[in-house]
Amino acid sequence: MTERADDSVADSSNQAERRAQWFVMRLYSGDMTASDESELYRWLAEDPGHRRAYEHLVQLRDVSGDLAGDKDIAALTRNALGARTRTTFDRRWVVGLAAAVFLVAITGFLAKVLVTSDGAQIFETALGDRQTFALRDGSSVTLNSGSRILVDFDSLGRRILLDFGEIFLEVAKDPERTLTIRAGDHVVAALGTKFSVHLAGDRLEIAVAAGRVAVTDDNIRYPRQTEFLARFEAGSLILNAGSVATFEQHRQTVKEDSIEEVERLQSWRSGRVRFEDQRLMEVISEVNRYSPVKVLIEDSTIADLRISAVLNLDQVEMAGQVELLLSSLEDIHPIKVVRHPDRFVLIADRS
Amino acid sequence: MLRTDRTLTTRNTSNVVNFRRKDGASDALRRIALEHEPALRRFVGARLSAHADRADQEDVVQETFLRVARQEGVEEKLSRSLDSVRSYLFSIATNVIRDNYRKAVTRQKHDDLTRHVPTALGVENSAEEIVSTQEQLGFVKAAIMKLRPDCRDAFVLNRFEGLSYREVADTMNVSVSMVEKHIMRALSDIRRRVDQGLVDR
Repeated sequence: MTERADDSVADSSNQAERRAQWFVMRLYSGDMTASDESELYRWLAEDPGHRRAYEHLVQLRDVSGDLAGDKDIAALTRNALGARTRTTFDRRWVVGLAAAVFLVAITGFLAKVLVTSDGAQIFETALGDRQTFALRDGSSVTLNSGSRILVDFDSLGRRILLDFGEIFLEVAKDPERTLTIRAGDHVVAALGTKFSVHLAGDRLEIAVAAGRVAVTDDNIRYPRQTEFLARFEAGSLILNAGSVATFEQHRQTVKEDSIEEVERLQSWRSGRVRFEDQRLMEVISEVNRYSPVKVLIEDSTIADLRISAVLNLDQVEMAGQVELLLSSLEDIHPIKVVRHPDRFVLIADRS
Repeated sequence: MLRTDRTLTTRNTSNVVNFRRKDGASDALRRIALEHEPALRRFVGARLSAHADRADQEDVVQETFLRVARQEGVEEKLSRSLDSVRSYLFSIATNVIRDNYRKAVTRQKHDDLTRHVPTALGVENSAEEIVSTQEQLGFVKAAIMKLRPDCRDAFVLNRFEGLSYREVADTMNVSVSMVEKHIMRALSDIRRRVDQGLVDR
């Protein structure tokens, strides 16, 4: 811009200007990364002049928005849009999608890891699949069959969003950054711990194997940093190791000192789901979380039968495992399994 | 203790995950929340910069999603490509930040405690500077009109049509990095001309 390279003051101020332009340009790009962000903060802190330059540009760009109704500006915009054609629309859609999210890894056949353009990660498992992932902070997360989470860690906090399904977490200690999980209407804060969170529709179940967690449905102010944690805990339900909490339609139940139930609920981690004296309808709804073939109960008289059984998860042929379990039910209980290609139907065996 | 009441106050409904409960747009909103929340939080953080309370950042994020949910034809808007949805979210977040700022200014004027108000950006502007916003707008308009045509196209498409850089690039048939250069050049020229205008008046 300036030809006077010997003028070092003007030069450094120009440099700051250009840097500010770059940051503002990046800010509105939609794909600012976490490192861009920390670089911005570092640069702003370096010199008050940097902050002035940056904020001046942001402010000008903001103010320009008030020209949205201006007829001259509208004419300019129409003119600029003139070049647009139908074909570019389709191309834009495809390219935009490809640019924003790209596939980083396919682990096994079924689990997917997506990295969004802003550095957050999305982990997803298909039906019948189970995967453990190491997270950047040293924590590990295991996704049960048919689950999806978004992991967003930065210098301010560790946030996991459980979109659906079930996860088991072993949380690495980090006093600076609380790890929180949002699931449905609740926020769970890990206070250094091992626990599982299972979200199925409106029903949320939390089982704590070690340490403590805090749960709240006041999900506006979830703790991102330690300073917020005390405030968060004050308005929360604290669950100690061995607790199982269930939240469903405004009702909450908490069972304490139930380490056996915690272990049973988390048995999927070792490749087995154990059922102990549970109602058939509960068992079947659990089986359906893993089964590629839907299992239906078409006879209410058998729905409340008490069942103990084991479903093996580590077999390649999940449908075969489900069938094995159903056959064992047929042997012991007055149940008949009607096998269709796309579903298994349970009816009462009246013979 | 854990609150179990579900009073639908603004605060209680403003979290993104609560969109589950709403019908219609809920799926699209849930999806955009999942895909864009980290980027939006980052954007808002950089806009508010280091001075702002983290709670402010959270409020702006929540309010943005809340406004999106109230928009007419939200499904259609959210079915566009990822980067244009993001661009749209950012423009709404910008409005939220500016509205908060205006409210703070009004409050400040009302209180008339000091000639200085903290801005949404975390710096202090004198009341005089704020009053000159209308005048400044005139200079901004003049500056945009005088931009080099390619820079001007890139700037107005991004700023007024809400197109992402990728979309601007496709519309103008140039590369994204070229659009980025145009945007930087536009910012630079607008700043220079507005400053000049303010000096010359």
